[in-house]
Amino acid sequence: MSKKKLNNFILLPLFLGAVTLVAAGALTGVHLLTKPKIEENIKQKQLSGYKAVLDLAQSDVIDLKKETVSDELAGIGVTNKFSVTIDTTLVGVVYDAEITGYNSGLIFQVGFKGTKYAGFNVISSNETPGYGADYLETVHKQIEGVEIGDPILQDPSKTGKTITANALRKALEACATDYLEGRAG
Amino acid sequence: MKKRKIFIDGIFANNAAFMLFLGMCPALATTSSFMSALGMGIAVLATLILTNVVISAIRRWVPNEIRIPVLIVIIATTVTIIEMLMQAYMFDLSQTLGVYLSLIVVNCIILGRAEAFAMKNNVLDSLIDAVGTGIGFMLGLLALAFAREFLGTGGIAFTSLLTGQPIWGFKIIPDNYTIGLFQESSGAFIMFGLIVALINFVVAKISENKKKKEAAAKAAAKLAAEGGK
Repeated sequence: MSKKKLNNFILLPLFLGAVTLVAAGALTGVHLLTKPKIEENIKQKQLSGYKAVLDLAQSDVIDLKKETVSDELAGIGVTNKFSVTIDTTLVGVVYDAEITGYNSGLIFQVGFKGTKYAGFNVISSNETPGYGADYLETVHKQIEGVEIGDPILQDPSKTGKTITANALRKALEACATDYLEGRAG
Repeated sequence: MKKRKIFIDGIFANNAAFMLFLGMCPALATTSSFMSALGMGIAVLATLILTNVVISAIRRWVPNEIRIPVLIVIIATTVTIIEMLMQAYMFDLSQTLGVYLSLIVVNCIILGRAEAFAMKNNVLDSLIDAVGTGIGFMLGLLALAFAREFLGTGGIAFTSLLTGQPIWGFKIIPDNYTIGLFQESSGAFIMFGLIVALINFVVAKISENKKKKEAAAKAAAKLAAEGGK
């Protein structure tokens, strides 16, 4: 095999592999360094979000009781279900979920009080700023105080928002059904 | 090339946003508020500096046949590192910038400067080029964001880049007189066009004045020569 062919078939891939290996090492290092801080940021935002979706003051001290998430809800993307109490009084139920809207990685919280939707909060999303992301900002107002069973998130009337709205509606309605069944049970 | 010229050209003559029309996607999408434009500007500046310096440092060892994949790996790694650091220490800002933070990987400015400059120049010159180009792009974003937020909301709100908490702000235009269109995507295009038109007008005026001065100087020199005869 000529020197040039050897170069093309062995040395070039080896060089690229070495560069990739160094890059992977750097990424691993930064990931290990930042992971605890990122998780703490998300946890803080979640705790603050639970209060927001149940319309509680940020200064309120809440207790969270973890409930079992059914297989059906887990299949939709629900990751947590908590009963929220203040001084042993139940103030509502909140759900954490991660679904795919127009893009993947839409993490949100939804809260229920009595027989109504209490609120909605986005923890993080990859929705397009100006389209899906703007739409998510309107969801809280759209569902707050709506009786469970009544239609929600109908017709976003703007291109680029329909896929996000449909995915969100399906997840919210599943959470609402589960919440009502829990109350009845 | 003189270092001063490299730096100044990156900001004015080769301004990525308004002269070369590079990086248009984030320039239009993240400029609805001044602070998100500042965050995007800082992220692009940091990416440019890191990629230009690393690429310039290893350029002698990178085989020409695989230079583009190598550049892409370095750029993607740098952007991912910056994204993780922003999620850790500028969480709210990273959420505001959303997917556009990851999309810096495919920003033409980064690959363009890496291929056109860093692969051919030493580390110091590449660093200066990165700083000039990054500052030029950031100033472009800030100009666009200032105009959009001011006309769209009536004022500017400054928040902490680290905590997302409001620091200071002002509001001059009453709500009834703001132009909400400038907060929308279509308003971004219109404002971008207006700023480019303004820049072209100023550049044309400067060029015209320069030509007039040169013509006057030539005429004076000719007169002086004829007077001498």
